[in-house]
This record gives sequence, C-alpha cells and structure tokens, in this order.
Amino acid sequence: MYRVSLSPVVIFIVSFTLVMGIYVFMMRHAAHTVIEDAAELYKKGEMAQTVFERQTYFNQALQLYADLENKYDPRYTNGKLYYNIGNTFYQLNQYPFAILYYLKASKLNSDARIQENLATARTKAGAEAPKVRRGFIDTFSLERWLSLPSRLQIFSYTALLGFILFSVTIWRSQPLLRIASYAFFSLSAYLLLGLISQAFWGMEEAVLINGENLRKGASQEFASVLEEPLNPGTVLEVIGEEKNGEWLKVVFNEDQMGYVPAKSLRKI
Amino acid sequence: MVALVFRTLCLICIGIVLPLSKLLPEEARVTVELKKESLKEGVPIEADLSIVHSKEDQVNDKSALFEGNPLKLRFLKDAEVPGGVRSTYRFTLEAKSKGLYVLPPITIVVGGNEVSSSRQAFEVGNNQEAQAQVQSSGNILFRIEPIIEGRQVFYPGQRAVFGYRLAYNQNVELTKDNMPLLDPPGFKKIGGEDIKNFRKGSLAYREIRQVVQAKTPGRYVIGPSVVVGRPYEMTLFQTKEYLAGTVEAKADPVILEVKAFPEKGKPASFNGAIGKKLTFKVVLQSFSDVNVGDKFTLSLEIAGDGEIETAPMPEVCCQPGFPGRFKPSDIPPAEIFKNGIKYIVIDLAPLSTSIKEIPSIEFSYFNPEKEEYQSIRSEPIPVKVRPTSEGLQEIKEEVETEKPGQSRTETDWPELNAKPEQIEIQTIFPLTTNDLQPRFFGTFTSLWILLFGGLALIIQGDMRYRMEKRKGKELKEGDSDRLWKEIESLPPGSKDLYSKISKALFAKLFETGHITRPDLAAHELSDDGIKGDVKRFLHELEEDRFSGKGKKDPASVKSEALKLMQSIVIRKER
Repeated sequence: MYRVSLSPVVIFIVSFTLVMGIYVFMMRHAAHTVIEDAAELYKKGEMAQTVFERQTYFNQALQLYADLENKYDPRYTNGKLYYNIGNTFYQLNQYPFAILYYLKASKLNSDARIQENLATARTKAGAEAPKVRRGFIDTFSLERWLSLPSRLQIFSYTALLGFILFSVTIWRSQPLLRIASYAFFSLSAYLLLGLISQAFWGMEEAVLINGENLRKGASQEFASVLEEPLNPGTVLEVIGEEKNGEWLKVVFNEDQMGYVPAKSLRKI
Repeated sequence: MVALVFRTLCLICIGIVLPLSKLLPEEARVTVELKKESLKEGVPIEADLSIVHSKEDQVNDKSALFEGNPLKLRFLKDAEVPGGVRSTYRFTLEAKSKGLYVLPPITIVVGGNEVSSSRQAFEVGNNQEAQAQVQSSGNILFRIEPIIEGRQVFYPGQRAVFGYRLAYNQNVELTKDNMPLLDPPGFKKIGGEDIKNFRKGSLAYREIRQVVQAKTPGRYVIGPSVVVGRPYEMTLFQTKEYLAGTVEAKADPVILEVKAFPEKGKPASFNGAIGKKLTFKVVLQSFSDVNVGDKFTLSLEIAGDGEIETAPMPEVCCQPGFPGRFKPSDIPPAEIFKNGIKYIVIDLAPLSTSIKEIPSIEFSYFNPEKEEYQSIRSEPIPVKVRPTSEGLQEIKEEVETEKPGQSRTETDWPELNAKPEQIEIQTIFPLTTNDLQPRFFGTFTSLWILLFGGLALIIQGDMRYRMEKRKGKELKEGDSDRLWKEIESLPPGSKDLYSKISKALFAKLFETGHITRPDLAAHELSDDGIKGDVKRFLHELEEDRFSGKGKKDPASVKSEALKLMQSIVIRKER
C-alpha cells in the first residue's frame, strides 16, 4: 500500500481554490437570476397595455438593474449594464438620468445604439449635445479613441510582454528580444503617462438632472449668467468646487462659466 | 241485616246525589290550539280558544284577556260534548320573528266565573328555506340558527355581521361545534367575536356575533353548521351531573355571494372605495407658500353613506399633475376615522418653482345599489413655490414660455389606464454575467504589474549575478591545468573525454581573458582568432560524436586539444 502524503501548502492551495471556485459560481448564478428577472420585467414593460403597467414593470426592472450596478461596479465593463439602465430611465420619462447613463455607456462601448438612444433622450429632454472639445490631454491619453478599460488592458499586456522579454534576455543574450522589450516598455510607459495625466488633468463632465440657473457665484443670491435656466440633461464640464463641494464651478458650451448646486449634477 | 241496610243507603244516595250533582255547577275548561300553518316568521298567529262548559253557563267572549289586554274573539261554533258544550272561538295574535315563545294564560269569564287556559310553548319558524331545526330529546330543547345582519350579496369592502343564536332550556356542555359563519371564506374578520348570553322566558340564549368584511369575489356555501353537546345539571355541590345522551343542533347551509367590481366604466382612480353616496374634500393644512423641498400637508376627507372607515386612500402620486412635480413622503400617511369622517393626512414636497397649484385629486367609489362608479374631483389649491433657500423675499420668477405647437392642458401626463406611447428607442442589450465582470486587466489593479514585474526582473538579475559569481569561483585561475590533468588520467574510451576537453578549453579561455564567463556555449564564441579555432575544434568533436562517421582516435584528439590549449595565451587587452 502506498501512502500519499500531501504538503500542507498544496492542501491549502487546493482547498482555497475550490472554495473560491464555488463562491464565484454561486455569485455568478445569483447575478444570472437577477439579470434574467430584470430583462423579463423590461420586456413586460415594453408589452404593457396601460401606462400604469408600464411604469410598474419598468420601476421593478430599474430596481434590479440598480442593485446590479451597486454590486458589480460596471465602470470597467463593456457598458451594457449602463445602457440598459439608461433605457429603463428613458421608459420612465426620466430623461436626464437616461442621458447620464447613456453617456457612461458610450465611454465604455462604441455601439451605435447607444448614440441613437442618447440623441433621442436629448431631444425629449430638450438638451443640446455639447460642443465637442478635445484638449491636449484627451488626445495624449488616447481617450478619444480608447475607453479606460481598453487602455488599462493594453498597458497591462505591453508591460507584461516587456517584462517577459526582458527576463529572457537576462538569461540569454538576444539583442532583438531586448530591443522588443524596450519597445513594449516604451508603449506601456506612454499609456501609463496618459492615464496619469488624464486622472489629474483630464476633463470631468457631469449631467444636470434638474433645471438650474448658471449663477455668477456659489449661492442662490447671485444672478444668472444666462437668460434662461439650463435644461435637465445638459452636459457641463466641472472645473472646481466651492463651499465644501456644495457648489460646483462648471463650464457650459466651452465659453460660459458659472456655478450650479452640486446636488443637481451627476458626474459621468 | 247490615248488608240490606247498606244497600238501601247506597240506593238512596244515588237517587239523591246524582240529581243533585246535576244541579251543582261544573267548572269550565279552556284550551288553546295554535294553528301550525300560521307559526311562521312575519305571519299573524292564529289560534282556536275552546271552552268546555255547561249549557247553562254563558261564555262572555268580550271578557277574554291576553296579557292583561282585551282579546278579540270570533265565534266559530258550539258543539255538544258529554257533560256540556264546547264553544270554539278564533283569535289572532300579532306576527312574531322566528323563535321559541311561551303563550301566557288567556282568561275569560264563563257563567260569571273567570277561567283561564294553561301556559304553553310554541315556536315560530322561518319563512325561508334555512329553517333551523330543533332537536329535542325528551324535555331538552337545543337549537341553533344562523345570524346574518346586513346582506347576503356583497361587494369587496362591504361589511356585515354574521353569527349564531343558540337556544336551550338545559345546560349543555358543547363537545363539538362547527360554526363556519364566524370565519367564512372570502371574508375577513374585523375584530373579535361578540358573545351575549341572556334568558327569555324559560329558554336561555347564547348569541355569537362577528363583524366580517367581504374580500374575495365568489359564491360561497357556508355550512351546514352543527353543534353537539352533553346536557347536564348542576348539583348542590356545584358539580356537573350529566344527563343521558347527547343533543345536536343543526342549521342548513347559507349561500353568500361576493361580486367582483365590474370592469366596465371603472375609473383609473378607483381603488376599492364603496358606498351609496360619498363626499371627498382636500384641505391644505400647511402654508401655501413654501420653498422647493419643503412640504405641503394635505388632509383628504372622505365622508358619506358607505364603508368610510375602510375607504382606501386615493393614489395621489400617479394622478395627472403630480408625477415628476411632487415627491410624496416616505412615511405612510396617517389615517383617522372620527365622527363618521375619514381623514388621511399626506405630505407632498414640490420639486419645481413652476408649480402654481396643487392639482385636483380624483376620488372614485362604487355604488353597490346602482352598480356604477362615481368620481369626485377636489378643487385645485393655489400655492406658491420658491427656489431653495430664498426665504420669503419676493423675487421675480421666471415664466415658462410655451413652445409653439405645444399646448398645456390639465392632462399633461397620461392617465393610468391610458394606452402607453409607442417605444421610440432601441431595446436593451441581452446581458450575461460576463458583462458584469470587469475586463481582464482592465482595472487599475493591473498597475500592480509594474511592481511585480520589476521585482521579478530584480530577482532574476540578482540570481544571474550570483550564478556567475559562483561559477567564477568554481573556475578560478589554474583550473585549466587541473582539468587537463584529469583528462590525462581518464581511462581510454572514457565518455567524459570530450566534455572535459571542452571544459578545459573554456577554462583556459576564461583564465586568459578571452571570454567573460567560463560557461559559454560553443556557438556563442566568435569565429575569428583563437576563439574561432576553439569553436571549430569543438564543432568537429561534436560532429564526430554524434554523426557516427567514424570515431576519432582519442589520443589524436587529446594531442590536438593540448596544442590548442597551449596556443591560448593571455589576451593583451583585458
């Protein structure tokens, strides 16, 4: 008879992997059920015969999607959850929130449907699309062409390749490999620099969810910069804050600067 | 002798007494016979009063008294009976509700003397089918009958009182009871049971009542209801002495119907209120001049003839003019029922400064008698909403200008039952769990690659350096000579010859500074100079070893290797 003796480390690794595997499976199963329920409620809302039924189903679907958003933090995903939430808000006639979520989705996904629905929501809300302004940082960081998760992925892969290739050259003298590793390092360094510059100096945008006046100062006592209040759904560039974050300094349409209450804005 | 005298005396007595007895007046007898067919609820009770009296005695039919009041008699007939005449009269008593009763004695003057009938019990039955059955066993009377106060056809929300009335003339300990009317299906019990015990005449009654509210539409057959018990008597020692046998009382099933509210004509604002005629009023209880975010307190008042106490609150949040403009409080509204009026107090926070009034609220109820819906609208309440934190200073408010082609009406927002608008946007993406997961390396945690990658490079570099240093220590100067001595001492045909020659040559190259590491491979050597010679020599050896062309003579190999070793001199530039 042979006795099989396993090292305690191996036992720990195997059991830990097993437990993690079961946990991940259960979590994914739970998410799968919620996703299906939400989709079914959304479909029922689309097929509803009365306004009351439609509102009921879409509200329930929104609740489930909101739970998923809180649980899974879709900022680094493919943006489909944001798009679905945007759709649900649209169906409930909450156009500013629909615009907000469509914009979040468009930062992660270039699907044409997102842009179409965004345009429809803007029309409904009476909010104009902002003028496209791309500064140096946006171009340098490649934000115009690639989403944040994509840039992080490319950075990770290039850095990893650079490390692997350079590791090989430590043990074997291969000039070509060394040149290739330097190239990958350069690319990853460039992407990293772009990420850092965007984080510190990048443009931050927000969506107005209530109609507000653009004021000359951080208080309701100040006069309005514009003749008419800004429509809900308007996109503003946030450049500062006042009064412990209660008021935000914003730029509207590249040339109009003013202040709006922070509670009326939602950052994209 | 004596017998003769006795016989004679008897004859004399008979001859005297009998005629005398005829002369003496005979007492009249009065009996009452109730007509069974008249013993029904709501039907005047008919009875015959029979008086047996002597022919000489006259019946004074106007002297008949019932419970101290004159009783009107109608003469029916006289009939000869042995010993006198039977005079029969008919009289009528007022109708009674179903139940057990005792007929008190009826007095009448016959031949100048007042005579009276004896007491007797009688029962008035139900006119309808649900006739309670009386079970009497011997002298024991034990009876159950259902109580339905209100109606037998309901709409959801309507209330009634159901229950039972038990009648008995003997203590009975219940051993089994099935009284489904106290918790009927399709109904909801309101409050607890109300039990009342009382006596009426010689009977004891126990009434159990329960208030119920119709809930679920349907047709319900409740029953039959059965109670079974053991009669007993209380002894002097306050213990129960059970009598023989059991008694059972049974009531026929009762049919109840709860109708559903008709769908035709049902207003969108209807949510279950029911009544014949209800009134609805909305009163603003707070200030009418508030800031955005402050709240209005409204009192919704419902009154009238109907189920007021259970009238549900109208759905204010979804009525035209409210969605998106007012935010209801998270706290459930307070409901008070007082003096027949229901007050529902709600808080609403205005969300926009463009609000000029609290819109009209519609309240709908169902009239069960007319079987139709009624809707009442409250009056709009003018209010003023200022922007946040502006205080009460008067400011110029922005007036919303109408866009051309868009007219504002009272119903800017669709009614709840209206057909929804067509869908104008693309539908949702079909999601999977993968769509919820961040992309692989697509988060900022991937920046850890820099740290771990750098660490890996540092560790590898350090390992490489240590390896070289270790090998450098192994092959220090003079090692080539030592290796050559080992080669010399190898037995002929030794397999280690070629590897040791290679090592020795590399050691010599290293010692003389031609190469920086003694563990280089042959192909890493350059092609020119002494290194090229060593490279070519080692290639020849490898070819010979693995090609199988023909083995080189080990001695000649050694001698060539020695020559090469000796030709390797110290490199001039180090």
